This record gives sequence, C-alpha cells and structure tokens, in this order.
Amino acid sequence: MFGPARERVGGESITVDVALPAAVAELVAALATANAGLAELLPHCAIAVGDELVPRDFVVQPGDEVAVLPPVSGGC
Amino acid sequence: MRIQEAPLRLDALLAETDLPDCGGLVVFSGTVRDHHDGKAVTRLIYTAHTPVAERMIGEIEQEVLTKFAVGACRIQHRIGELRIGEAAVLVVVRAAHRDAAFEGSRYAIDEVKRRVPIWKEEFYADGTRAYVEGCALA
Repeated sequence: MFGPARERVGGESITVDVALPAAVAELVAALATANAGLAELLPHCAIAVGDELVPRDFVVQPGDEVAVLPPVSGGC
Repeated sequence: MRIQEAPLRLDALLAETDLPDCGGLVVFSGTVRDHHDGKAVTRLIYTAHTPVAERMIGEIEQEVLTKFAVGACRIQHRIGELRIGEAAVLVVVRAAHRDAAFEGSRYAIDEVKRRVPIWKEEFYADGTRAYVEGCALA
C-alpha cells in the first residue's frame, strides 16, 4: 500500500484470501470487501506488479508483489 | 539515480549533462512551499513506489530526448522528510537552442506530476496532516 492507501489500511500491507492465479480485478474486489476506506479509493488507483503498471485483467501469479498506487502528488 | 533520500545536488546534474554543442540550459527546481489552500505548512514527507518511479522518470527523460531537439535531460525527485525551501525535484534540460530546452523542461515536470508514483504528505502548523489530492495514474 502506498500514499493515501497506506493511510486507509493503517499499514504497509493488507492480507486477503484469493486463490491464485487470479485477475487483478478479483484482487481489487477482495481488497474493497476487506476495507471500506480502501474501497472508495480503489477505483482511482493503479495496480503495479513488480515494477510494471498492469491492467485489471492482468493475471497475478503466486509470489507476485502487488502494489496499490493511489492518485499521485509528486513534484511541488 | 532518479529517486533519492539525500538532498538533490544541482552541481552533480550539471556536470553529468555537460555538452559542448548545447547553448541552452534550463533548470527547473520544485521547492517545498510553506502554504497550501490557506494553511501554513511546516514540513512534507514524500514517499514513492521506487521501482516504478525510477522506471517512469527514465521513460520521461527518454521522451524529452525524442520529442524535443534536446541533448540531455535528467530528472531527480527526493523522498523522505523535507523542510520548507528544500528542493523536492530537479529537472535539467540542455539543448542547442533555448526554445527546445524550455519546452522539454516544461514537458518533463508536467509528466512527473502526472505519471510518477510519488505521494506528498503535508504537515500543518495547526498540528493536522494530509495527503495532497493527486492525479490518477492512467
């Protein structure tokens, strides 16, 4: 979890039960069910696996590191 | 290195991009401002998804090289805790002529704000804090 998503979850990561392989969309749905605060934010979040941004139909494999990236506010 | 906790060093970027055929040099530095939406800001914390941020900034540097007639483009963004007035981001663009250097640097900072996974958390004088509203990644 990063930025405001970390704030919603109250930590760097969250655990959900999803059988892998599974599409990113299934993971996102499980995350939304697990945490109401995160649910509001998720439609505006990108998902990264490793160092790649991936679409919602990307298939996550066991061992993949999945990151939730909320709207960004770098720069100044 | 494109994302770093250490203070940004303009002299190092200038040395790294030195090109004898470039007569135009534009430096953009984004520094920490002491106010936001009417509230007094005392400090900031920037966090990043570093692997994606490094790759995105590398892509933006390459785009500047291909879209504009520039000889060099380097971008660095700082993360961690920053005080008022410290540089959060540096963009250095060198080109044969000034127009391309200005245009390339403007493109670079706009794309950094739009595409690089970095988050700004502001701490206010009244003791509250908040993440700044951001731009959704495409």
